[in-house]
Amino acid sequence: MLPAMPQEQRYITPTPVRIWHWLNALGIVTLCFTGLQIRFPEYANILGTYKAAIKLHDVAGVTVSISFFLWFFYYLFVARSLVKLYIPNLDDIKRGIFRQAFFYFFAYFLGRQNPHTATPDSKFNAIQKLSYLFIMFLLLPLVIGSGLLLMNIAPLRGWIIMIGGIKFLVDAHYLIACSFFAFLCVHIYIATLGHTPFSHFRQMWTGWEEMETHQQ
Amino acid sequence: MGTMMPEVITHNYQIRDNRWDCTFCHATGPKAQQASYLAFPGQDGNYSRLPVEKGAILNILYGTPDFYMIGFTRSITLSIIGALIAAAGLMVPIVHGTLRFLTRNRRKER
Repeated sequence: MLPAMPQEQRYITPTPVRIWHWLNALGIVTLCFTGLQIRFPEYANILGTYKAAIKLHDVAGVTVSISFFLWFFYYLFVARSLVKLYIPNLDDIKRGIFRQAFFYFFAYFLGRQNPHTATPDSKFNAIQKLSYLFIMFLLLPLVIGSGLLLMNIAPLRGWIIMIGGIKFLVDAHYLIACSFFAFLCVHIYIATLGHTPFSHFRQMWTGWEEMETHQQ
Repeated sequence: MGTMMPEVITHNYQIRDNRWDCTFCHATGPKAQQASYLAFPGQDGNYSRLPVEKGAILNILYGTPDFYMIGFTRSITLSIIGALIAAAGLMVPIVHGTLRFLTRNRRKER
């Protein structure tokens, strides 16, 4: 038996990214709850009044939109690591995705080591890269765009009709939001798969990741 | 082309907070919905009125590309699809977490 001993620590997540992450998390959770009330007012009355739900939804939506652009600006122009961190390379596509899926769905239950070790230059495994690519570069811009259109129906009427009308826009916004909720469930759960259930949460709070080593 | 007009204007959606939810009044079936009329202008300057049958108002609203009645024009099918997407996300922690719990002793041994 080889007892796991966390010894080495690596600084993985810089402060601006952590601030963005938690601001974004708060915003997305708020959007999910208020969005539930807006979509199903007869079943969900979380904030008491319908108007309050809409106002809070708008505020959270604008907050998430601004934080997204700050995140994008930071990774693209300040850290200059957007492509390296988030775009899967050839090895990720050929082998990394299957290797990581095998770990999550099989090897993990046998107690085997995670094939990917997080470093500042390679924070995400192949599945994470693919998921974040889909979420951050497709779903989030789409939900932000559709939300901004829905907040400005009268001035942006021409755009809305060109896209397919309000009903199409609302339904697209809703389905993307449901996908975000599904992602949130998986994301929070996967975060508990570190060497302790809270090690990844601690890393996202402090920036430091405890690296797991084994006694010989 | 007729103009849809309520017989008596009884409320403004801004008067009371719960009027922001249009389904408060305009859900399928209530009498308020069936009291609307289509008004056709006549040559003598008057209007002839045609009572709107149940569902007709909704069909007119669906035909307007830039109209969305909050909570009412939503698609039930898409609501279900969205709920299934959300449920699929919830199932991952439940199924994986159950297997994780069942294999906890094996993982400790490693």
